[in-house]
Amino acid sequence: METREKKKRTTDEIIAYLLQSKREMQEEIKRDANSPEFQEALAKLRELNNNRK
Amino acid sequence: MPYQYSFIGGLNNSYFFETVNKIVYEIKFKPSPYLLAGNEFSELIYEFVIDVAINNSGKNPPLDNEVSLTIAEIFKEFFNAYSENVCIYICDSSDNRQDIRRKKFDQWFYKYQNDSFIKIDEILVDSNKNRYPVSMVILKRNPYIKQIIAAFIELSENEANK
Repeated sequence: METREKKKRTTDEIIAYLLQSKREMQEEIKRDANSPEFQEALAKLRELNNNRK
Repeated sequence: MPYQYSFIGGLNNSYFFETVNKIVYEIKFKPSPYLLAGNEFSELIYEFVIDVAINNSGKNPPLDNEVSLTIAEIFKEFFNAYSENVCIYICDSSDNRQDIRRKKFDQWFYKYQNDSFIKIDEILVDSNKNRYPVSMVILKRNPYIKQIIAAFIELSENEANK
């Protein structure tokens, strides 16, 4: 029984880790968009896109 | 034709691109050794996430086939750079739409993959019997493919389905 609980808890931990990690990365993506580095990279990408037209 | 994309790197290997509708998407590959902790291949495991970074339209992004194509290109570039890497994708179930997300991910994968990849699907079940679809994508030529697949399948094993 103890082993079963331990194994079950581990699966719960893995799920919790994956979901938490995904949420953190989604929040990071929202924050990234406002950073000067991202805006600079976006400006360069737009320049590249304009040059391709 | 895929959109032009840019690699900005960082801890979570970020890529981004902008659509014709001025929607900016960002993709991250986050190192996740925790998933196979204690396994000799744990350092090869990455979680894959995509989300909208900028959308000033006030509406949901419109359907755009170039988006899927661009994500596929980024995926291939990531694996071409590091062919031993493995990606894990979990479908969020907070709104009970996990099966729809899994279906969309499947459609995307089988439409754009070029037979160089293998996708393994598993379901993680928590103690409340909630189901969480998880997929792993790995290159067929990965030299550790058998061991990594076995370790991934072990993730989903629990007393309930033995």
